[in-house]
Amino acid sequence: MPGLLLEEVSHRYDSGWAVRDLGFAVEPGEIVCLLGPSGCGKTTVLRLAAGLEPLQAGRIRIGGRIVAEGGKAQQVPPESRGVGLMFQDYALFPHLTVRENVAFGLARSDSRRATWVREVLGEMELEEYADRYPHTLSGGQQQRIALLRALAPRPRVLLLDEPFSGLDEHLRQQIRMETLRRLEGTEASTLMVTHDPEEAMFLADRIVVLHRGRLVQDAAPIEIFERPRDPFVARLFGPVNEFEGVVRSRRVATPLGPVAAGGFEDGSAVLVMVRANDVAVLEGGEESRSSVTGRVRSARTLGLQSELRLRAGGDGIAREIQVRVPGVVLPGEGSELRLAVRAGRAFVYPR
Amino acid sequence: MPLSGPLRAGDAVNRPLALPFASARVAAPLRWDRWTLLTLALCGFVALPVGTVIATAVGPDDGIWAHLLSTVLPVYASNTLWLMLGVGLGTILIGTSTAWLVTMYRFPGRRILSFALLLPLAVPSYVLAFVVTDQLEYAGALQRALRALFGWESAADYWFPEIRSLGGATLVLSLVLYPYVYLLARAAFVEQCFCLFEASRTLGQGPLRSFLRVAVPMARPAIAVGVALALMETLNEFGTVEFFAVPTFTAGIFDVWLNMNSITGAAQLAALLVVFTFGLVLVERAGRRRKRFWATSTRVRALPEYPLGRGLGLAAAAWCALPVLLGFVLPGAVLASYALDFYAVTLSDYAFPGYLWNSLKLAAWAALCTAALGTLIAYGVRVSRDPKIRGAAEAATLGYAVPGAVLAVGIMVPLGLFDNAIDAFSRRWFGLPLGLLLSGSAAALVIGYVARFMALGYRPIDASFSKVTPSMEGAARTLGHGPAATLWRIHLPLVRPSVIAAALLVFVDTMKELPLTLILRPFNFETLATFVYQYASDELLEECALGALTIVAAGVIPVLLLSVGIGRSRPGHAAAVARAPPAGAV
Repeated sequence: MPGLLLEEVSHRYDSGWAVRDLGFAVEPGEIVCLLGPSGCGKTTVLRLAAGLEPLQAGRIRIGGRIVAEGGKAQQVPPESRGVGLMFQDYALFPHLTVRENVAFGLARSDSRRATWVREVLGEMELEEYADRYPHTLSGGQQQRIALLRALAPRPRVLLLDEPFSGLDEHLRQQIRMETLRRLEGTEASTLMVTHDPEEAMFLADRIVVLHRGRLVQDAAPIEIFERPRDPFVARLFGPVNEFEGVVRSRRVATPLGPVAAGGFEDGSAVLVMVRANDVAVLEGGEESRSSVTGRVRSARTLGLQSELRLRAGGDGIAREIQVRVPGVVLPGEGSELRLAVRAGRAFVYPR
Repeated sequence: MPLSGPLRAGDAVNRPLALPFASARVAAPLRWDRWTLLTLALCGFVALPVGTVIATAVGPDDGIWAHLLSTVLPVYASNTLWLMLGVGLGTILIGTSTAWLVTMYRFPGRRILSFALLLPLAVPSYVLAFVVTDQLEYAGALQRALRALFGWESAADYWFPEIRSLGGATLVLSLVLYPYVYLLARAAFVEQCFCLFEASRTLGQGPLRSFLRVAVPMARPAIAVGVALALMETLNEFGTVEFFAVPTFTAGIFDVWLNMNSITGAAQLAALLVVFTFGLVLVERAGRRRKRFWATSTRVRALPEYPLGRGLGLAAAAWCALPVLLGFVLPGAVLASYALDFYAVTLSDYAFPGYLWNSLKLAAWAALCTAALGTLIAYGVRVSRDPKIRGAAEAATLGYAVPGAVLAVGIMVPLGLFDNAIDAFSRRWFGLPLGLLLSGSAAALVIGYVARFMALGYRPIDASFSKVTPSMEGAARTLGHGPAATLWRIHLPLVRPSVIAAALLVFVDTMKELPLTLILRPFNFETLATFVYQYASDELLEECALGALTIVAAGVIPVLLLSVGIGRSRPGHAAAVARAPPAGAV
């Protein structure tokens, strides 16, 4: 039985739909990432699941029990749902100490109040700060406390709203790993909201991609990366070359050479997408059936990878191509390179 | 308090949580749950007097209106408008200029003046009016000295402005009401990102032009709020205008009600006043709303506190000291000297300790009830996040702008009905005549104060709730705390200073309150305020000076607290100033 189940959930603000006909499940022990650009309705989903926003349409179940049903005034209030919610701004209580914050959700009679709290604070290297107030701590420490506070009552469902957005890049990677370890030890169904595809790839067992309040794809991270269901999903992971074309003999002509049209009939108008990282620059000896020549217009390096812009293709379909290659590669302007699309990495969508 | 019954901690109220700034959301039907009902009931209770007045005003007209219109109404209207204009300009001039000087510049006495400027708030306007008249009238100290100095024999020999006039009332009211503007303007200046002022300086504007073109416009919403509060007090004013014989609407209401014996006419005048007030309330609300968008920068830096040269410094000190001298030191000194001479008379001839005890008791009850109801209403508004509930709360705060005399009408009518109903019920079922239970009791007075001062209880607490972010509320709720438990464990600890401040303000205002007390008090029941008013207006200021001094002294306490609060409002300010090297001279 899924820990959290959303069925046909829709939510509307005066400005328009925030969520439309959304349905997905989070199993116990599973981490699901809700991925999408800001303003796509992700946070609304969390607030609906927590009961902080009245559900307008659809149904939400937690552990099989219906906690909210659209149109019904009686909805289970947040305090009785067994959810833990970690806020983007952490929402630590400024008038309570670290220890009191973490223990806030535990009943006064709960024996874990003393032992568990001390234990986890120790594990997170926060023991010495137990009696300090939150504002005296660093961002990373506050993040840990917020996570512990949400986990303390052992919620059936754990909701995380952009849990790493307040941290700088270096700290983020460390805390991400730490959070993952802590979550792996729980049986909670975790739903995490993020706009960072990399973060979702790293943490999620499954990714639910949202676009304008609608679900576009619900699949394992690798599936999302390798078989994006529509152009929006394909664009999530870095720059993409996009070509419009028409299928002829089950192939589409692009500036990078012909690509297989998949299941599309001859004559259908399609959009071909190739990630900048999926364009290979062929070395001298390598040959490929479908390689084309590109003339370098600019080359810049980011260190770990280099970004080239080349002009490729002929006969009216010539275009600028964006290519990302690993390492420092800085060919001179005007030099010519052989380019080819990596096998199976051209995505074709109807237009 | 019986009201706390249905709100035990841990109650599950089946509703999602409130966002205080209800994001644009589809209008949902009002949810009739416990908090909504409680909040509406409380608001209804508090708004009842104002509602009664309006209902009476639109009731049958006994022709008094036409009579009023042709006789005294134009006089009331013009006096009221001139007074509002004068007090508005006076408070802006004094309040804003002094606030800027003490915030931005370093000059002799600045630290003391920065809080002393709040002191006139402790002086009831009627007390200042009595003292000023006592000093400036023909037999007063100033004119006696002038006559002695120039050898004048009588009033015919020289001209002296008549203090008991519209101009005098404007002066007196400006002197006791400017602290509202000062307080809010100063808070706004302290919160302003100083970088904007510096940007203006680097763009070639001098300090004065930068003040007028950058600092004042940014503080404008706060100044508007302060002036709105001062003008509400002006509309409310009874003691001063009555004593100075300047018939305003409020004085008119007393006149029409008590002398012409027309409750409808009084209520109609009162309703007209409520319209005025609505305008001020809208100004005030708009000011507060805009304030939120103005404070954009999160970078808080120590203010530079430019040192002023000797001449300029003394001028600044003199300008800031003047309102304190006239509004606080003068009345304080005069009253103290009279009290010293006459305290034995006051204590032996009058039941002074009894008056004092009555005042303290009433003020404590009023403060307690207002703060408690204000907290519950503010939280109810937040939990419901329904504009209709907020509207109800606004209606409940209107009493602040309604003259005490008017509220008294609005309280006596429903209380009479209630008492008669209870009495009839008791006679019918128990054969026990109860008579008038609440009318003419101290409880009626407390109800009156709550209705009158709810704005003081509700507004600061409501504003202070913004310290509790929506996510903090959400965190408490998802961690298993219901609305009542969340209020108790999160909101109350975080806003406690505001609740205490609100209660204190109500306490002091209740001690000062005059018209409502005069009308609603039980027979032969004297408070300090009624004692002072009655004897001072009979030119016996000396004998009641001890009472007036006590009221002023009580008023000083919240002023001290206010000044501590404002210094703290800028995070790290004091420490940063201590560390920062002195900035270059202007």
